[in-house]
Amino acid sequence: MAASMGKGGVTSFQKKSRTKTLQIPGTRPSSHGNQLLVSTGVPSLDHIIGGGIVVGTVLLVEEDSFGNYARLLMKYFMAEGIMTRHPLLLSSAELHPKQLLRDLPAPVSDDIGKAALHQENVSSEKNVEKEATMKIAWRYQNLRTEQPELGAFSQFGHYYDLSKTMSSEMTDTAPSRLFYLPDELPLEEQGMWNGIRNPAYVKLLQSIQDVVREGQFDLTVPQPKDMSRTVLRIGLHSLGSPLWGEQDGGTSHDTSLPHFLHALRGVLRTSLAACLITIPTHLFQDMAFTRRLEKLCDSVIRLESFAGSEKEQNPAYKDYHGLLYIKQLSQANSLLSYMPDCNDFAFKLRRKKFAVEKLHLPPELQDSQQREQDDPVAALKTPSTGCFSISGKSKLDF
Amino acid sequence: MLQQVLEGTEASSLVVIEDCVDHDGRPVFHCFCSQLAKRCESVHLFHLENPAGVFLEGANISKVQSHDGFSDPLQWEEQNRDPSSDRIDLASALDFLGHLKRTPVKTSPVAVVIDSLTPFLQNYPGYVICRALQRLLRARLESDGIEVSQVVAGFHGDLHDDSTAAALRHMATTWVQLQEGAESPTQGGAGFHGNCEVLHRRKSGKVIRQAEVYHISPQWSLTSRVQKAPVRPVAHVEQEAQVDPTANLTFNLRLTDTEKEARSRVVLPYMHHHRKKAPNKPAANPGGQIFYQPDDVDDFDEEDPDDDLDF
Repeated sequence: MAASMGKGGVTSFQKKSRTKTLQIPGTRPSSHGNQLLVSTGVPSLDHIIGGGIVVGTVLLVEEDSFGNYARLLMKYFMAEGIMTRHPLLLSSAELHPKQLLRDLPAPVSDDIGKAALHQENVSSEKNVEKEATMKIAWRYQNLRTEQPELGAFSQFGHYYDLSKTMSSEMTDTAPSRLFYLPDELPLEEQGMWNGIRNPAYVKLLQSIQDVVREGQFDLTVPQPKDMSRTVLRIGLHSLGSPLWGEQDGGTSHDTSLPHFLHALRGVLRTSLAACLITIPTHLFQDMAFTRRLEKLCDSVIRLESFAGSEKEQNPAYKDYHGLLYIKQLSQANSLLSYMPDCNDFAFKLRRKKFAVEKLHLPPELQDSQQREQDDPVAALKTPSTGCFSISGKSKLDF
Repeated sequence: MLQQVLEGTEASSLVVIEDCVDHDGRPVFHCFCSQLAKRCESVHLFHLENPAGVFLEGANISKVQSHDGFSDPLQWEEQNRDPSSDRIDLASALDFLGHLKRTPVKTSPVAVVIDSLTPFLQNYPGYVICRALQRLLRARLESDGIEVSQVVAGFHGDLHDDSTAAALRHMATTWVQLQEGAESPTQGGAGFHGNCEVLHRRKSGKVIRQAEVYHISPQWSLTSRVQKAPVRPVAHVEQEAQVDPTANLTFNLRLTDTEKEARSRVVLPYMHHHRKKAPNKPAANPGGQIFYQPDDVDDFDEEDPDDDLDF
């Protein structure tokens, strides 16, 4: 009987099941499906997408205009992977992945290293005593002997402090494979490419398949039972930007990127891996191309930041730094995806934390505009599902 | 902001100056050339639309290395087909860094000025330019022997479509869009001036968008200042003065201080009444007491009509 992984780690509840469920640190079973979830690193984002990223699926983040917040989400994802000891695969075309890894936010609790050390020492001692069977308290035979501390590697969803960076020992010792496009692609292929498939995407797909095969993440290959399994975290930063060879903003009917996403999903479905991709879709002129990419990924969120736009001065948005739209949620192995209770989310980046919240409009105070068209707060009150226009009071309104 | 980027107080790795037919970008370019010649050790000028002399007037020529793309870009003449020469060949693969490496470089860091990206964009797709610019920007001393501190490129906004502009804007750390002005110099050498909108991205992630006015002196030095944005009617709410209802009346509605005090002392009805009548009435509900004061016309019957109810 397998012990189920609760939030604190050890529970006495044991599910009666014949097959041994996978116990992987850093993951937890989904509450509304037979799926395994990994955390994105931002607990508030985890909550709105249904608990986390489902293992075997792709979370697509459509970048904001300058890509800052998408890069931050990628850093959180990688930091969470280091904290939970998941191997990483990070690819990027503009800045070197090593630079990205050097700048990860530091975890909040300080005794991470101490907890890990303590656990290893204790488990080595207790191994000797395990053979003696309990005579009186025989019900407790199968429970683990020591309690993991809070902040140990089995916790789901850590908190990070953005003002500090993660120590280089942690980032250097983490198993990771970095894919930097200018280094991986030979020089003659770095200019114009002809042919059907973009060589950059072909190379990236090959390296992902190699890592999945070598790291034994493939679920179709039978593994020895007592091998400890772990989840591979794949982060593809700023895919589909011009540096990847994407031409004409999607209007040129080039199918390399949809083909890559389709093949990537095929690899992920049969392996223990979770993927976070950021694509700068604001560079694509063709909306249909963006929609195709969204359909090829499992969960899609879009970030819209207020930096440099006229929404920055809007008093309704003064507490937030941008809006977050959930466009699609994953439906792997189930008929229905997770349904969030509201669809208006905003994010704010404070000095130490990045958080996603429900968008609350400020209260309408007495000194609002005389004309409702000019009032920015009233203009936002339009519900997205309203069937009648709110702008201007019609004389036919009762 | 434009002045700070020009002088180097604001670090910016890729500056793109977008101009159009009405507002020429050449004076601003000239300022960048002369300023970079003073600031950096060596400047590489790729000129494709104008002869080199247009930008080098008044600058320190010894520091400037020009790559000629103006006289024979497509290599029609036999004598220009020497690959080791300085000429830019639009028919071969695009590689800015290769050009830089070919000239013997003694010093570093290096600044690169590209007169216009338009001839390149007409011959290659947009992503090739982006990749070539990126190779320039990430050239490092150890691996390539050269390090580029700043790249300034010109871009004609009315010759290219939005997707190309968007792709370049995504890469650029400073985007200067010239909007008005840039009149031709008068005989007295009054210089140039005009408006521009600057979108600057700092390394920390902060984005600054400002509308500015710039002025270029005859000695090719640029000064700029932020233009005050016109007041938007939405942002400023006129506080209407609350109309005093007691003014302009034929009768007096105001109270003096003594009158106000007397008003506060008035006992309101039903506040704390003493029961005047029916003392024998039991306190039916101890939580709340009922104080009944019958009038003269009230028919107060001692007999309780509910007494005959039988449960």
